[in-house]
Formats: sequence, C-alpha cells, structure tokens
Amino acid sequence: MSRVRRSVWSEGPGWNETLIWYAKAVGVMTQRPVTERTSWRFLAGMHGYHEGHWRALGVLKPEETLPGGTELDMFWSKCQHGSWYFLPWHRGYLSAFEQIVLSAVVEAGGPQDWALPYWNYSSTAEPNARKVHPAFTAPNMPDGTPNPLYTRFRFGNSEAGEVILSDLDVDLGALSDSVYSRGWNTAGGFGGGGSATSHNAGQAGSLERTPHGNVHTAVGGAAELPGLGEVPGFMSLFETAGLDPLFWLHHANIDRLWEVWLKRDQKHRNPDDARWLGGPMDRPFVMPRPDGSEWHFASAEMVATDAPLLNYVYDDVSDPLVVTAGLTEGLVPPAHQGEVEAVDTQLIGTNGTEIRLGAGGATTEVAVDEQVLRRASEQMTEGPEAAAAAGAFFLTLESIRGLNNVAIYQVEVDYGAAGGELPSGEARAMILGSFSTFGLGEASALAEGNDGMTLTFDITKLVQRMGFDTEPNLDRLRVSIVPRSAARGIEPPTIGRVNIYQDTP
Amino acid sequence: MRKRHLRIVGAVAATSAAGWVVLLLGGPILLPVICGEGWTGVASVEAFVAVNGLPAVLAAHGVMVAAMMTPLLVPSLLSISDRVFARKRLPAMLAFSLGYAAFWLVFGSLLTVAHAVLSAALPNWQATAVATAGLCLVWHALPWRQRFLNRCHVERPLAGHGIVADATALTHGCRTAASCAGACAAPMLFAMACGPFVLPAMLAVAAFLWIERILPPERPGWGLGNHLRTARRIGYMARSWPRFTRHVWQRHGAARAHA
Repeated sequence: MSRVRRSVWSEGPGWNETLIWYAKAVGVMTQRPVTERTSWRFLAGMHGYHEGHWRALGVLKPEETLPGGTELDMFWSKCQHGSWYFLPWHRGYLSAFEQIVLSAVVEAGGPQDWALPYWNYSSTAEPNARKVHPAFTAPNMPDGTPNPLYTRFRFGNSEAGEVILSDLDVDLGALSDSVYSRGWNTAGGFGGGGSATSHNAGQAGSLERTPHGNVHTAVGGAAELPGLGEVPGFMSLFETAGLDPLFWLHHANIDRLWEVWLKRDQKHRNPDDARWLGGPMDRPFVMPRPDGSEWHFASAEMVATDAPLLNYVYDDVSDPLVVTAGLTEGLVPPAHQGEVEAVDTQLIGTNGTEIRLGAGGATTEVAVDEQVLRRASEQMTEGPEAAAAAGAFFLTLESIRGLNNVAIYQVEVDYGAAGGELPSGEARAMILGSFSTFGLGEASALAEGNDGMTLTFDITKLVQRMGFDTEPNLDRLRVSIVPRSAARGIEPPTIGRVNIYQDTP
Repeated sequence: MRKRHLRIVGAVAATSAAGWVVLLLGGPILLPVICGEGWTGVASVEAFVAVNGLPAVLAAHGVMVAAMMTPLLVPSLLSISDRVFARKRLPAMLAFSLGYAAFWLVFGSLLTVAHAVLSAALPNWQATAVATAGLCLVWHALPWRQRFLNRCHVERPLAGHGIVADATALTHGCRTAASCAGACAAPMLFAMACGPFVLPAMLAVAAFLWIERILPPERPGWGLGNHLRTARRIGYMARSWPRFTRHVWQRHGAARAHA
C-alpha cells in the first residue's frame, strides 16, 4: 500500500510524529560527510552548489573537500528549470530524498510508512496555510535539543524577517493552463517548454513560475550579515535551496499540484512525446538510493506516483479552483491531447526592444496585429465553441536577464479604449500575475549558453474582455512590470522582449 | 514537429547535401582553393587571389560552409521562425543565414591563410596535420572553447517590425557565426591539413560539430573532461535511440489508425 503524503498543517501548529521523525532524520543526515551520497549536503548539492558560497556560509568546513569529479559530474547541480523536465526531475529528486529520509527514520525506530509532508500555502480551508509551520521556525525541539528543521538562512520577505505570502505569490492560475508544453521556442505551458536537459535557463512552465518561484524567493529572502554583506537565504538560490528543510515540503506541494492539474480535467495530459517520455536523450537522470547505489530514470517512470518505484499518494488532490479550465481546450482534438505542438503558436505582437526594470519597474507598449485581436475578441463573445476556435493568447517576457535572484514583480496589462464602457463594469487594466527572479543569475550566464528566463502569462481572458468593449484600442497593449520587493543595490534586470503569441489550430 | 519546422529541416538538409555533392564532384578544383594549396605565405596573398580569383575563393568557401555548417543552424532557424511574425519568417531566416554565411566566408578565408602559413613552415602535410591536431587538443582543453560552443546555443531577442527586424536577425547570424568560429576553427584547420584525406576529414569534423551542437551546453572548464562527457553522452544516445524511434513509430501508427 502506498505511503500518504499529508499537509504539514493537517495536525495543527504543534510538533507531530511526522515532523519529529523528519527532524530526527535530518539531524542524522546532516552529520554524514558531504561525500556520502545519502548525506544532507550531498542531496542539497544535487540541486545546485557553489563551493565559495558554501564555504563562506559555513556549509562546508575548511578541512572538508567536495565529492570527487565523477560524483560531481554525475549527481551535482542537476536540477532542471525552465524546462519540461522541471516536474519529472524534481519528482525523482523528492522521491530519492524521501526514501533516504524514510530509511533514516526506520533505522531510528520510526514508522515504516513515514512520508514527506507538503506545504499547501494556497489552501483556503486552513487559516495558517501561508505561514511557515512553527516546527521550522523554532530553534529547539520539544526536548530542548537543537532543531534540525530550523535554519538561520531563511530571511523571509518582510522587514521583520517573516515570510509573507500574498495572493499573487500562491496563485493557482497555472492549473487552468490546458497544455503541458507548447513546444520549443515560444510559450511555456503548464509544465515548461520543450528542451534538452536544462539546469538553469529556458521557458519556465506556469507552475514553475507561480507559486514555485515566488515561494522560493519569499521564503529565502536576503539579509545583511556581519562580515558577509548581503546574503540570499538558502531558498533564494539554486545553489543552496536544498539545504533548507522547508524546501522539500515546498516541492512536495508543487509535485502535488502536478497531480491536481492532471486530475482536475481529463483533457489535461502529460506530453505524449518520446523526447519527454524517454528523455532526456543524452543522459539518464540519476539519483542515489538509501544504500548509496545509483538509480537511473526517465520522465516516463515519473508519471504514476503509486507505482512501486515511487510508492506514494497525496491525501488531497481535489480541484482548488472554482472556474473551469481555459478557453483553449477545443483547439486540441481528443486524439492529440498530450501531443506537444498539436497547436501552432504565432507571434502577433511585440514591443520590439529591450526594457530595464529600474527601481519603479518599467512600462512598455506592445504593438499588436489589430486584425487578429479584433477577430478573436469578437469571436470569443459568440459562445464557448467559437471562443475555443479563436485560440488562446499569451504574453511572454522573453530573455529576462540579471543578477538579482531575490526580486518579485507583478505584471499588469492595460489596453485602453477610445470610449464606451465594458457592460460588466470590469476594468480594462488587468493584473496578469507575478514572477520571481529565482535562478535569474544562473539563467543569465551567457558563457554557459544561457539566454535568460522566458516566462508566459495567459491573456486569453483579457482578449475576451476586449470583445465586450465598445471601442477598444486594439493596436497596442501597455504592459507594466511593477516590483513588489524593495530594490537592491544590484544592477536591475532586463527583459529582452515583451511578445504576444496566439495558439492557432 | 510542426510542418513548417519540417520544411526548414528539409531545406537545410538539402542545402548541406548539395554542398557535399559539389565538394565530392568538384573536389580537385575546390579543395586546393579552400586549403590554400600552392600558396606559400602571406606575402603571396595577392598572387594567390590573382591566380584563383576572389569569386572562386569565396565560392569555394561558400560550398564548404553550405556543406559543413548549415546543419548547425537548424535550432536557430527553428527558433527564429517561431519568434517573428508569420510574414517575417522567411526574410528573418534569410537575414540570419546571410549574416552567418558572410562571417564564415571571411573567417574561412582567414583559416585558409593560417593553413597556408603553417604548410609553408612545415616540411609536409603529415607534419601540418600533427601540428594542427596538437593545436586542436590544446584549444579544446581551454574553457574559452566551451564558452564559444555554449554561446552558439544563445537565441537572442529579435525585433518584430520593419527593417530593424531583419537587421537584428542579420546581427544574430553574425554573432552566432562568431561563436561558431571560435568553437569550430581548430578542428576545421585540422581537416584542411589532412592532405589527400581532406574530404573524409571534413566529413568527420562536420559530424563531430553537429553532434556537439545537439548536446546541451556544458559548464566551461579546464582539461578534456567535457569531451569525455560528450563521448559518454553519444554512447548513451546510441544505446537509447531504439526506444525513441520505437515510440515515434508507435505514434505514427496510432495517428494513421486515427485518420
């Protein structure tokens, strides 16, 4: 019988068996040498590492050395971001971690069915959902011993060092994305753009953008530390994220949301593409087993969580959204659900120039193919079938580059109008969502072949709204990128292009 | 794969194949020009051009670029076709290819000069081949070579409208060619130095470059570790290839059955 992953808040704010055993296991794993495959730091290094940063923060002691070259090459810095492998790689990573923790729990006399809890910060049923569970903020365990789940490198996003998650940070709009991947070069889809293995750049899927990225940045934050200057929190960087015990609960929730997405609509399918299922093509993903041996897998082995290899289920995969799935679903015939590039994606608007996100953000005008937009927006007022045939529309922020890994921005769009009003009274300006710059520094490393992050926002509802407007201004959209965190003394990020794409059958 | 992507891949494959056929049939005329045979040094550049004619020099290098380098452009061409307006696809792809080819015609000619100088300084083609192989080994062990290779993967933002769109595509082509030149120069010089085996050497070098271009970028580092990784990845791809092709055929069968 599969083990059950439950919400960290399901047993209230106090310590419970699951968390106590988790803490004990983390305590055991942190004592293991960094070169041991089942140690806490080895597992964290698999997500990412930076030797200098690890030494500066005391993660690596001066006398310690990193694992050997072959070990590093095979295991470390292998997290997949900006890619359709983001979800399967992290599922395998979490599963390997969970099995190693379980092994430590059982060795210490704990339950055989221990499972990793998840942090459902988007829950509306749990009043404390957006707070970090107290078991992770208390310096000591109930017996007075130091708490391995606590870290001083979790700075939060407020002046007081608390984690404050807004509605935008935990927004679940990603669940409305009807397609897992839209292919290689344009808009991401739910799970990310098609790619070869991608550690740090490319087209992030909507789930990877929010809530994944936002929660990383909001939890990690950054702070001035004596002798170290400004230090990003563990969760703020690829290179340190896995060192925070909360990271694993965050990713368990992201993993759960993949299951929620699949179950909320039977048309939602994983890619039926050999390059994803059997991929990556040039190497297997590799994880350590509890006995230290290697476990190789491809994406296809990550699609069923209750299969013997993974052996877990979630206690709650119910649909948290009241609205039904997007307007685009009619575009993809049932026989092609899951097929990447079943629909073509065409550029219909661009701002044509790079913008720099200063202290106040930036505003840019996107010139759009007015005819396409007018035809589609009018079609969308003619009922669901016509709306589906009109296709979906996306705004992409292409090639976001910079060094600030700890910023969150909100994206607003406004199309203006010559006159008249919307019958519904809705505003012509719309907040599309938000994004964090988690991983931006790595994504901007040109020498490593990275051309920055590309993020996608669904604007289909905005186009539909235009159809109800009496005199909409359809030849250009005003797009504003507004910072939601204080500016830092780091060169501001740039956005290569702001583009509008249309899914067309 | 989208149909328009297939068309692009088909056009590139045809261009490359045509280049190889011309090289094969016209080898005795083209290869000496490409390799600068009979050219004894910088002092006689003018004499060399006078004998062969500038158009012939450029044409020979054009054929070489078409044969060897065009397959390297596939990812960029697909990316460009997706990221510009439908009406701008062909102009943008042509502008990119033009920028790429223009850079390579000039750079290829410089390689010819380099090869001629080396040949003049060394007793025979075998010595030149050994020297260029050594150069290759050293250059490939430096992190800068990997940086050049990685930059070939960078797809720069393109302007959407007017002549600026074509200009950014042209610039993108030149910059991609510059990165490509940094990554490919040493093995191409080696191929030129292979005397009677120039053509098979060019084919082997081209295959090596194509495979490298398919693989994702690697972190730059010292030594030949990245090449060992490349070799391992090629081995893995060869072993896992059957399961990809099997899946594609299953999909093809399912689509036919559905139709």
